[in-house]
Amino acid sequence: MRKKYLVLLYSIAIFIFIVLYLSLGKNKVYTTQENIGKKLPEVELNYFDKNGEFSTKELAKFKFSLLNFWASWCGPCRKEHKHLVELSKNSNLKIIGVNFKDEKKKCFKVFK
Amino acid sequence: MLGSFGIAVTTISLLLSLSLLYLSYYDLKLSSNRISKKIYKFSFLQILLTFLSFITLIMAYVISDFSLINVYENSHTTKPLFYKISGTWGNHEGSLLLWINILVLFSFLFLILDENKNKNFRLYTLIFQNILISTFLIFLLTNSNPFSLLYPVPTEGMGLNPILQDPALAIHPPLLYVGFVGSSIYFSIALAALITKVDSKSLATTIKPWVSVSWSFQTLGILVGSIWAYYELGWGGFWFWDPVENSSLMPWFLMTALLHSVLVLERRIGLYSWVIILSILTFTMSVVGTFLVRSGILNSVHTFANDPSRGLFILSFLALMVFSSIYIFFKYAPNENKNYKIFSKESFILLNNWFMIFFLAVVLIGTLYPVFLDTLTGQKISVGPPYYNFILAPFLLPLLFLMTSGPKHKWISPEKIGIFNIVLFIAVILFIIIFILIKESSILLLLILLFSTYLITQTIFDFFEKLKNKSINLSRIISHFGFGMLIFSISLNQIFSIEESFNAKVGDERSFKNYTIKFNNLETFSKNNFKSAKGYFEITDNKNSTSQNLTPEIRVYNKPETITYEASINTRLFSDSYLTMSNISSTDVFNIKFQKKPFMNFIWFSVLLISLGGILQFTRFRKKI
Repeated sequence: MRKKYLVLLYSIAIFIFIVLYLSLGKNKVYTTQENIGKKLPEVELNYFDKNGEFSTKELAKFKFSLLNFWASWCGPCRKEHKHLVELSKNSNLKIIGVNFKDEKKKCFKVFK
Repeated sequence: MLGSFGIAVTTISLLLSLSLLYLSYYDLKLSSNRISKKIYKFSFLQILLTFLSFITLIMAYVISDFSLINVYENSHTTKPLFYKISGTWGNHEGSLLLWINILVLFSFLFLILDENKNKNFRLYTLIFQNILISTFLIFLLTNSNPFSLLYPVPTEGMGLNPILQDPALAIHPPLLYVGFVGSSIYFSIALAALITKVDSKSLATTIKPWVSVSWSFQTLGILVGSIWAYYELGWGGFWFWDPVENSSLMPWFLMTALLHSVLVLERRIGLYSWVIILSILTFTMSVVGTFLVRSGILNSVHTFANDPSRGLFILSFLALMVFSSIYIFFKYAPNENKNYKIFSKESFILLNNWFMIFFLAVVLIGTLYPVFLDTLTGQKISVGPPYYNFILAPFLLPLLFLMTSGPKHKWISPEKIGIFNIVLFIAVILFIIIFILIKESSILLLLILLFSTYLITQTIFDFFEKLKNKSINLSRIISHFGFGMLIFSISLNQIFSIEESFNAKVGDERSFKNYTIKFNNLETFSKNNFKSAKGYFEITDNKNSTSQNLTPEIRVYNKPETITYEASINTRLFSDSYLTMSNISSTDVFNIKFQKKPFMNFIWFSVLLISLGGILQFTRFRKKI
């Protein structure tokens, strides 16, 4: 009986140690580099100013798309806004702003 | 000069530890009932030289001896003396030397304080303890040497991370290490007890003071770390379920379980093997924590720089420790009769132990799951407060109830005690008053408040009974009261906390709820090692017509170049006002975060009480001896 427990415990311990050993050499810093070449996952988002839902499938209509995550509380977002407006003049490019962790009321204030 | 001296002294310490291993083993075979004088002399020399190596390193920091890589990388001539000293353990190598010093200190104290115990039992304990000491000394000398030399000698050092230049953080590691590393002694005692077949009473009386002292220090260490995080990191919270915080909490759960199990073992009711398992697990979990913090496999605010070779060494040591402990346990563990009566004190303690193990499992899974998932599937996730709060909070209810009801029961006797009594009645009345005052709708929070009120009321009753009847355990009353207060204060803190975040320029005003915040002025100034932008804010409480001034800062340190956000906190007895500001680059707009944090003082004070209970337990025990 004791032997059974011993084997079980050793097996669990060996498994844990192998995983910890493998994790040692891994890069722990999250970078977007790893996402290059990957497909955009299917997401559904509500439109901000009209009814209905936006699906990533719509992006297929355009050659290039730029998804920009922004919020009314985000300082850098305000700064980059004018550059995005400039970019939006390019007809090959579709710019989609995804509002993130924000309140609708405050977003409309930004547009004004 | 100091570097070479440090290396020499540490190497002699290692030789002494190896000699002690040999001498203790040799002494086992001698027929004398007493441990040979030589072992005492070697142990004394060992502690003397280990202390000396640590003092040498401190001296190198004090005189800014940059011929040592460690001092060059972590210190600077303009740093205040206090932080030069505390900088010694503010890095991996220096703190490892502190680790070893505490290992040696506990080994020495055990040798001189537990003289009346069985000779072979003491010798085996010394053997195990010196295996630990030797291994860590080898690790220090070969991989993480704080005395490694640098040539040519630089004229100036790189400085210590400014967020570590703080009084609370200067004492946080030593306190925590006494807890963490102190558990090594009962790890060694447990293995020695198995081999020498020491009886349960003797095992219990030997480990009890060590468990109390390490538990108290662990509690204090966690407290000081929390206070530091609260005012230094600018998040306004005191516990973030950060993986490294969890690393200190996991051994704490085990120590708490052990502290209670020892009471059962002392009365020879059973739990011999269980106490051994807990003793082994506690130190193992401390080493796991050390591995997680120092190997760099976790992303956290306080992990040391990533170095896989360190991790590999600690992991190998951990594996060796775990496999040999399991082997020794299975080879020597005695068979026990388990005959616990329901409604006896020991059955309540056993239940408490299961709760602690459950809490440990939840925190362990939460901490390691992201590491496992990343390694096995490549998916990166982080486990945060919602997971812990969701799983742990409901289980606080039965735990609080056990803590209230358990101590009233008698040892061995399965006597039922009515749950409905005057204490519960008073607790319910108090709770109803609180309920009317707070108007909280979360049932779980309300129940936690009710059960913690019950525990607080019960311990107050117990305290008055103690005044009449001297036999009641005051350390238990203080710790349990502290725990009840802690949960009560955290619950109220959760309910009444207010937070408002907004962007503002100088001159702007913001009103919300009953408060108006005015951004009056911004001042920039330079100090010796940092530049600062200080905001002047006036916070008016419109309900009580009172106002207070808060002055958060943004500091840019030059050595090493780091930005810190200094919170401005106005502490009152019942509530803290907490304000931080952060800059939005290239604009004159600042992000302002105001928080009202009630009962913070009560949270700190209750943890202090919990720890005090452990210290009282220790002094009570030493008096008995």
